[in-house]
Amino acid sequence: MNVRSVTVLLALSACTALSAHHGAAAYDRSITLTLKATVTEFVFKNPHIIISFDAPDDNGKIIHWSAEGGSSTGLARRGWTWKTLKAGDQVTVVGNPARGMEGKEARVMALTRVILPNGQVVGQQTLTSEGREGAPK
Amino acid sequence: MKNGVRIVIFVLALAATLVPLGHAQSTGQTRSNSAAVVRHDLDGVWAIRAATTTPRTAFECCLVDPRLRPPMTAWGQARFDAAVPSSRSPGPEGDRVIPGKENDPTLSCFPDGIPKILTSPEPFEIITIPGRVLMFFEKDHGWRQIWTDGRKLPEDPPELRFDGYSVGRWEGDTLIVESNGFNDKLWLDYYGDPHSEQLYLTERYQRLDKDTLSIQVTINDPKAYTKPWVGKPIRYSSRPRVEIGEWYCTIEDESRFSEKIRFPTFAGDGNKK
Repeated sequence: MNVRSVTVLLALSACTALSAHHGAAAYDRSITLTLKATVTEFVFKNPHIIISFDAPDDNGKIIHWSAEGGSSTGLARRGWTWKTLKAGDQVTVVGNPARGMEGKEARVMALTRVILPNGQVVGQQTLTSEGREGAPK
Repeated sequence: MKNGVRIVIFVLALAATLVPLGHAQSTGQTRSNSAAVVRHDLDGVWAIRAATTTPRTAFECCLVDPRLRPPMTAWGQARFDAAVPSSRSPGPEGDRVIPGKENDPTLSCFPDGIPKILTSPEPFEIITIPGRVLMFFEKDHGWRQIWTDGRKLPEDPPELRFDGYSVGRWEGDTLIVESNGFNDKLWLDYYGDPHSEQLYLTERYQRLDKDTLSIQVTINDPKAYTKPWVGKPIRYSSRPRVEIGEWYCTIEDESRFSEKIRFPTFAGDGNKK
């Protein structure tokens, strides 16, 4: 992935996606986590891709995360494939945590982007709190 | 010789008259009474346009604006009260989202249906063939047929459908689509606004320029609303390099998503925002 495509992906990450499947308010957009992660499962399916991974918290305790991304059909147009990640990959995951899950061993986040082992960045439609909310024109 | 020149001039003049007409016919154009060329071409891949307004919304909101919703009937109000959407409505009812309790029919793998799917962020393609305009939606990977061969809507539809039964006709540069024969299983939009089997939907499709499509709808559903609900035109952008992807809803995928994302998030949040 060249610099240009990374730039495009990051620009696209500013786009927002509606989720009929999930209230966008479930995520705390004021917090952005950057986690060193070991992928345990990668599901490249609709309605939203799911990256399951383990990552240590500040005390070294392993937390089991599930990160929700955009649709697989949409992300396929942004350079993702079903082979982008696999179990065992060591990656950096950036996203916004779900509210009220602090202290739990299994937590959920809204994915912003993933930095692959080779340094490539794969961007993501974010499910921002703007979502489909707000008044129309 | 003089006659020969006259003949050449006549033939050239005739050709100049006929060539644009022939071109118009071959490219889906037609001529109005004023002789101005009017395009009858909606073909292409389209996606609802991201809004740039303030307050910013991700996509153009609402084929029909919940702030301008007509008073509902008792039937409509009961359906509305039972709906738990996944998106906060811009309407006066505000936020009715209860994380983990959403009951948008799409969560049970119902199709979005017409007109709700027109506000899905996934693209759709319009394809014109003789006698029909076809719409191919990425979401639900479904086809919609709009009959343009002059037939009328069925007065008593033999079956009730998620997408209804649709006929279309051109008025100038606008394709007017009228539909009936809907079932009452789906919502009009992502906010839980209901419709009944009495829904009579009118859509107006207009290509504003090469890259912009406008869709305006009017909801007439006397079982759910006391008056017609008239929407404003919503814009869509051309996506010429996009292939329509395959998005089928499966129970397996929905169940996995609920198990890993929706329900744990609800358990963590616990309360309505």
